[in-house]
Amino acid sequence: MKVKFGRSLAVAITIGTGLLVLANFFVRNEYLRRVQQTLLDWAMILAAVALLLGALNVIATHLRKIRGRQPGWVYSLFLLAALGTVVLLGFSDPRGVASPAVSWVFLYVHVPLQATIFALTAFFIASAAYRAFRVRSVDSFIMLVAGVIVLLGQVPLGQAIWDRIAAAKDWILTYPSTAGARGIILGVALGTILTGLRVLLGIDRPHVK
Amino acid sequence: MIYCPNCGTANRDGSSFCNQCGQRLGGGSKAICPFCGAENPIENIFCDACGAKLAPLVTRGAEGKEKPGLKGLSLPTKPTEEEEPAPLGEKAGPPQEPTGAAGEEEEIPDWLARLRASLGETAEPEREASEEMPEEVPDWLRDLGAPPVEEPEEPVAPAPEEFAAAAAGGAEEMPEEVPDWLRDLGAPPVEEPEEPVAPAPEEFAAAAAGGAEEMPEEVPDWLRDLGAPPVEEPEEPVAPAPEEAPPEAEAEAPATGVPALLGGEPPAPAEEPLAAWLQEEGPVILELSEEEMAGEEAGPAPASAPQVPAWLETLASGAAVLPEELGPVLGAPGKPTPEEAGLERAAIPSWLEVLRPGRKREEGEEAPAEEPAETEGVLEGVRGALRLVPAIDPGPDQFVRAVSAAATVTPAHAETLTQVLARPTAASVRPRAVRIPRRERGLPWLAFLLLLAAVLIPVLAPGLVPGGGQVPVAKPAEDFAAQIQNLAPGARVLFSFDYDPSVSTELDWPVREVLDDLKPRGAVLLVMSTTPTGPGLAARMGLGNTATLLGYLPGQEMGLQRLATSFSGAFLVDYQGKQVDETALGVQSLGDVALIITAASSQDTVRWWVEQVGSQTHTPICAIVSGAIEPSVRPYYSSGQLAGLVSGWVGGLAYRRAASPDAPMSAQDMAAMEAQSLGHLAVVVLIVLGNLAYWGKRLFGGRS
Repeated sequence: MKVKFGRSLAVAITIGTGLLVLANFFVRNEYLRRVQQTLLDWAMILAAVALLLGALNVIATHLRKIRGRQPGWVYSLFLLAALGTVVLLGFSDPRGVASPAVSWVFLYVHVPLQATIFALTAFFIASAAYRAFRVRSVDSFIMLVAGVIVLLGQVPLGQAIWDRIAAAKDWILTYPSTAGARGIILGVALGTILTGLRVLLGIDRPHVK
Repeated sequence: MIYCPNCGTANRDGSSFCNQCGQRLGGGSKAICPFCGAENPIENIFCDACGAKLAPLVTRGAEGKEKPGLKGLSLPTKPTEEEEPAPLGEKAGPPQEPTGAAGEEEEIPDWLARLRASLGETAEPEREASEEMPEEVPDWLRDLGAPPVEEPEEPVAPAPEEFAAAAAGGAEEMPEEVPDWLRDLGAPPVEEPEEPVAPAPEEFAAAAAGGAEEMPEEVPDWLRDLGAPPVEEPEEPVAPAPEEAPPEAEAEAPATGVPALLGGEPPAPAEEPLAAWLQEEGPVILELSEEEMAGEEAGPAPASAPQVPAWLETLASGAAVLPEELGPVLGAPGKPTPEEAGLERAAIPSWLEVLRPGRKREEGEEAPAEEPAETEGVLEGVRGALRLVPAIDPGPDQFVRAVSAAATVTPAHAETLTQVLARPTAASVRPRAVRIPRRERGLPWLAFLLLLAAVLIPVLAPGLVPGGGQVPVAKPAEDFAAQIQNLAPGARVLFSFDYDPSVSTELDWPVREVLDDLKPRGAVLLVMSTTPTGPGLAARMGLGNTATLLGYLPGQEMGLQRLATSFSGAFLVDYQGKQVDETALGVQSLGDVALIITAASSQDTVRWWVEQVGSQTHTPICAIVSGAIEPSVRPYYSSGQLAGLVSGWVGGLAYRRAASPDAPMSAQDMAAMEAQSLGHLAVVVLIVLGNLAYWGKRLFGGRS
């Protein structure tokens, strides 16, 4: 009975909160706006706390890996060392993340490494273009032609090959591609509406499980 | 045709002995119908005359005694209300109403009517019984129920006229449909006039004498009532109750066709000894019963246990005393057992063992557990409705079938199982490297060399790529530039860095182009980010003195909704840790912002801006996105929800061309565009090569 009451209370809070936020989209009321603003502030704080919890989880996971001498535990050791170093650098300066030391680590370690890793995808794309982009049917042939047009239409070289390739690329992106993407977006929107209604009506209660 | 009960051979009508095995036909072992008294072949299950079940087989042995039905065997199904014969007790008792006797007689079977007649009932009930006989009863049978007025001393019921004539003229004059027992009935009982009828089974006799409470449990209620004394209504206007008659008188009652179960005697056929084959089979049956009993002693009684008489249940232990009537069948007292007689017990051959129902349990083998009763549902209280697998006692034939079926597959299965068990465990399995075909082993190097050439050639030989200096026209970028150009001096522009460092090399360039275009226009920049790394990326852009880096806004779409609700309070401190003064910024809400620009690497971020902010304000939103997500973001531009769109590096150049058509392109920009052109061309070349290899292999059998 106690559990049932707790769940019912949680569902009631969820429904009430959702309706209050939703009502602000349809009703211009200062009181509703303030209530919504307060609730959104709480949500932002919780999101920030979730980020902190994520960092703590990373620390706990890699500590466990180091204690158990699991494969690759040395990398975990370096990760924790780097994390601790950046945290110490940030707390050691009143400007926090805007301190020169943290900015240096960010600009000359974090950004280049991430950009480099992302650049490696160019090789994977090139290899995949050879292995996977095969014409096995009419559909795949149409997709291949569209892909080649968009690839070459993005760059000046394409215009040198065919002066109307940029227009063809814009047509592909404006009509066929937009039609497909819009269908996906509409589907996502309908799913969001349905999920919201199910949560607001108490049918789905993922937050009380 | 007369079928031999011993060997089943068909014999001609009128045969007295089987022409195959010599078995006496027609008068030997007979099954007497407990309802109509008709004699049936011993193998009959249902009566030929009335269809009643002949379950309690009554045989006539060599001594001429009638063998009562085995105690506990299934009795006839309790008839329905319309079909149920009136219990004897009720008949013996007074009618509910004075006029109810006749109506009550309607339910009395004919054999009971004849019983009344033989017992000398008053003329009125007899007449009523006779009058109330069903119409389908033939006249001769109707007459059979009439009182033997003319021959009161005759112990048997008077024979009809045709039977009397038959008795005088011979059996060949009898109607063909007359059963044998009626033929005998028509004949004068000269052979055994003093032959007392077989007494009723002990349990029924005792029940008749002692009341219903002494009846055996397996007797159905309607039969229990039959023997119950009418204590409340002693004034009996009709036939006296059986319990009032002493057993001796009942035994001396004339044969009227009353079923033997009720103590009456059916028409006596010629007494014949038990069939020889049946006597021989007796010990065999006993042996099988012992084995079955031995098996049952270890476990609970099976479902059919209530139908097994007590004496039969304890037969194996030797504590039971065989009824006298079963002496000839199961061995008379004093008769030596087969072993005592020097006979060797025959072993059942294996092929016959297969046919035995049920498997003989080995010694010490645990008996199957009793079926638990269902505790819920519609089967609550029912036991054994859904049998447990361990309780199933498969017959030996099933074992034989299993063995024969497994004979062909077991070796293969065993070998497979052995191989599976011999495999190393998952922990010891090392993933094998994927073997790349020889002709494709140089592919990674080819891709690497092509991309390397795409980067180095523009640097080493600028202007080599055709069309390298041409910038493609892009209307979304032109619209973006138009939004910037329309900004008034001092207008507030909210610029959100919503991309990761991974795509910074792609987005930094168009972002710089836009920022460089904003600075000279005197726009006040409010820089923020929905990603934790965004402020750091913004900080390295050289935003200038007119820009305020507000920092990171957590909560993703919730944060944007919060920002759309009220700018005040969304940022308490800026990226530098200073207090944010909305008044000094001149922004209380997003309505005070002239333009919103988001540089995003994810289509979700653009969607959040459009949904959460664009729906709340009329502030135009422009987006700078990577080329990979342009197709996903394009619909927002096509619908007008995005006022402008810049995509990737090429989009940045297109923006510059739209914002400053006369601005010259630097050598660095030229090299970047040529490198990108060659890189795209390399990918196209690899696609074409791959398809050539694929189709060459298909068309020329792999020679490619």
